[in-house]
Amino acid sequence: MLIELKKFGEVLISRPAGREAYLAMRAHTLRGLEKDELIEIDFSGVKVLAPSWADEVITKITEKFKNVKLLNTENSSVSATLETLRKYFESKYGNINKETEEKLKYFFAQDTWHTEHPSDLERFYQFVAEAYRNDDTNIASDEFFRVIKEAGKYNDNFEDTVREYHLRYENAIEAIKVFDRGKL
Amino acid sequence: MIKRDLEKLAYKWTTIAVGDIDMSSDCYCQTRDIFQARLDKMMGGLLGIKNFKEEDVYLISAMVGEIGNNSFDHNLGKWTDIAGVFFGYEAKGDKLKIVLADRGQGVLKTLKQIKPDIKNDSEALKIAFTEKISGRAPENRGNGLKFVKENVKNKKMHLIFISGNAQAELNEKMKIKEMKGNIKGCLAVLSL
Repeated sequence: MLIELKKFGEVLISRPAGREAYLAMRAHTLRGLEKDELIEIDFSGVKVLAPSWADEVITKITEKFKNVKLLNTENSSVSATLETLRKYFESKYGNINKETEEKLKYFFAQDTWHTEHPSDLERFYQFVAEAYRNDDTNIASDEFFRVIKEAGKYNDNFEDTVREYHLRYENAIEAIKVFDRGKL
Repeated sequence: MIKRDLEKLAYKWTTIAVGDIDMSSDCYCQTRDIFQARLDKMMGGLLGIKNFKEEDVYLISAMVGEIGNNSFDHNLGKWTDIAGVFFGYEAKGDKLKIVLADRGQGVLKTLKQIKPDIKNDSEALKIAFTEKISGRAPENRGNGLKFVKENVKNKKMHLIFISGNAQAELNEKMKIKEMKGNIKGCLAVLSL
């Protein structure tokens, strides 16, 4: 399901306006959808986004659905607001530890991140180890997309590869858990 | 051209007796709709000035929207006397000054509802700008000032935020000090 936020206006700033927008989405666009349905939120055409509006809409959608993808977030107020949501709000955006995120960003920041070169894999598993140490064992795939975008290395051709690495992260975390249980 | 001292005007607006307030001022926004309309007008005006980057204008509009809407969010039904906000701005060359003020409850009284142990205005300002505030279910209210603070720092802006007898000054760092005067509600001066 694609949600184009520009249909709610170019300037999205107040809490009541956000609340109204979410009620409209809930009554129409989101009605009857399964919890694991892919929800794509498209920010293209939005000029101003403030945390109050976003908290009423984006936070609620991410709480309701497990698989939310954010598209076209380059606008300065959009990226700054999403960063605030991620840092301060109790949603899935707030779950990733800063050190974990730095390791993931370091991995994605290399031009060769997707080549399976031993150095890249070493960086990737350094991230996985850091995530496990910090109890970041349930990072959503949209966090991977956000981080690679912030690292400036994303293009649409990488979508499947990013998902593949997210799956690899989930499997590695499960393997470490099994290994740890064996030590007890 | 800067024709008037907006800061003084806003300070006066927050401190004078109700009967002396100029209700017809073009800076007075009694309702959220009026504030929103004037914010849209400011954004349109700034986009027409070549000294300001389009992306910066959008970000500033989000920051101003957050501060102004905070006043309405936190004081709905609880204004001390006059409902609404004072909102004015001046642009000269590549300089911009935006002033917002309200005669609401102020940061201390607002935060005391969820953190009753807060001792004074200075502590309240520090918490408002730095701490993650939760527990205001069902909404995650109260994090807008952290958004403002981050962007002041990232975009090398300057913000004075006064509430009660405390003043926070933000640029790359934040300093909080006590003042002699006392603001009823909040007063914010954003400059770049």
